[in-house]
Amino acid sequence: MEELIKLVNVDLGYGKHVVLRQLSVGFRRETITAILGDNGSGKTTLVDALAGFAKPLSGTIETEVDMRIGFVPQEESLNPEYLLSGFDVVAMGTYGRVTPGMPFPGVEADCVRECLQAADALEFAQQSFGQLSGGQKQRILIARALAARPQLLLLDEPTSGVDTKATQEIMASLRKIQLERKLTVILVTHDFGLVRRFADEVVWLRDGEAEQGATESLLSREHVAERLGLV
Amino acid sequence: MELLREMLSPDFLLRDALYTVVVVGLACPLIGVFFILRRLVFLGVALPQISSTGVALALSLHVWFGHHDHGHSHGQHDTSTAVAFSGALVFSILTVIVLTFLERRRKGIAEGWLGTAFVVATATSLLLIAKCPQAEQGWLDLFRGEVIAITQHELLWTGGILALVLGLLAVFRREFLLVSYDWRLAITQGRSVFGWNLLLFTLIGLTVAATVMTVGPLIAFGFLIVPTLIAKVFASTMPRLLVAGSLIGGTCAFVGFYLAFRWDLPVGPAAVGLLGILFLIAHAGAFIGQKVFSGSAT
Repeated sequence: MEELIKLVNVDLGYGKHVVLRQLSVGFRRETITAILGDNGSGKTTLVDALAGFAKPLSGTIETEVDMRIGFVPQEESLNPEYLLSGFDVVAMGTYGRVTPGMPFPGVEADCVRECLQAADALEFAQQSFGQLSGGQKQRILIARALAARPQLLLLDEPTSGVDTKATQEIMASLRKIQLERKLTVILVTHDFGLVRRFADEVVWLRDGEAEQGATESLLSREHVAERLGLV
Repeated sequence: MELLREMLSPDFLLRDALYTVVVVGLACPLIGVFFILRRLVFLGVALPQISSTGVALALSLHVWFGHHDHGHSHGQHDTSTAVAFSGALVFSILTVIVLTFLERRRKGIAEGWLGTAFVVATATSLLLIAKCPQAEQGWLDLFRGEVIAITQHELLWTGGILALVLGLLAVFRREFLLVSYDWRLAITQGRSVFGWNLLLFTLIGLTVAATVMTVGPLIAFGFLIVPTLIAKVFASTMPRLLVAGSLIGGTCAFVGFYLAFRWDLPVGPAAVGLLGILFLIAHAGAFIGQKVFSGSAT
């Protein structure tokens, strides 16, 4: 299957500090790929490069021209002092299609409602975003990412700070959305259990390098034990 | 009551000053909301002070180069106003350009830099007016928030600039909200975060320059920040926050002017002092309300 986005001999980092060296990984279309790694292993650096927030120090990132990205940040990165409703937050996902200074079109309001429905978040639409639970906020943020009509959905620790039940529900609806909309999904997580259950592929970052493979082989008991130095 | 009737009369001697303060009170909270939401309150303190240094420098240069307003004619006063506004504008815009570049690094704005800029700006202003007594009175009046000498020309000038700024903020509200709330999302949507931030900060700089020039840094800072902080205590949506902040600002400006007129006080400290009292009442009320409701819930 063809790759939607591919990194070729890429160095990633900040200033002169290289975090990930000579990285070559690809992300296949219509799959869920999990990015695993310890704190400081470069997961956020990789996500920043994939989303276009930071340029690689060297190497190339090959992708489609005008690829649309739906980005789901960690909910605590958003300032709760903005008095926005769930609907307001999701509407931001459509702003890329609305000409600056023009009225918000009715068709985009319909799109917002449809995305809220898809992410099972319609019931929180009129509530204050800052007062929602962690799981409810994540659903709103997934709806916001869908509102951009993305080809690539990029999620930075989407279940961080969310209880186990809500985590399972969010991931199940994410899988459903991914299959229905034929999305390529890349998510950063620490949760091996979630990855085993929901991810097709894994990119495992360690010591500045990446190992990529199918979930069942890369997260087999033997391989994990070997990687973690338990054998 | 008699005083109030006099203030509301079209022939009121200080009519232009009253209108200017109320316009600033109504408009500034709508712009200052970005200081609060982007957690740039300290910038809200520093920027008017830096802008007033621009006024001091411009007035001093104006005097030193032999254009002092001896005759107090209308034309000469207009020239002084234009010179002062130019100074305020240049300093405000330079500061916001530096700010936009700092924001571009995504590391926030170093409070140490802002604090240093604040004290250096104040010291520079004092040194300038110490060496230029002719400019001293005008600058000290601004610094104290003394507004009674505001002319109709200044009222129209300030009102026009604030109307322009508010118009652009209304037209591009989605873009300003997007880059302020989540710059990462703005990038994935193909928006220029640097460009929109530059426009937003330029509008803020323009507002600060216009208000500092007419009502001084005390009123400018007070009305940019405090009404929104009061409104935040009880507002639940962004439109309510904006409307409540603006109404609180406009009302406090009017009542502060009345109190100053009644007891022969400078308008700036009276209006800002009133905002301070409202701020304490609002937060005390919220604290007590929270205690009562949490007590009745258990």
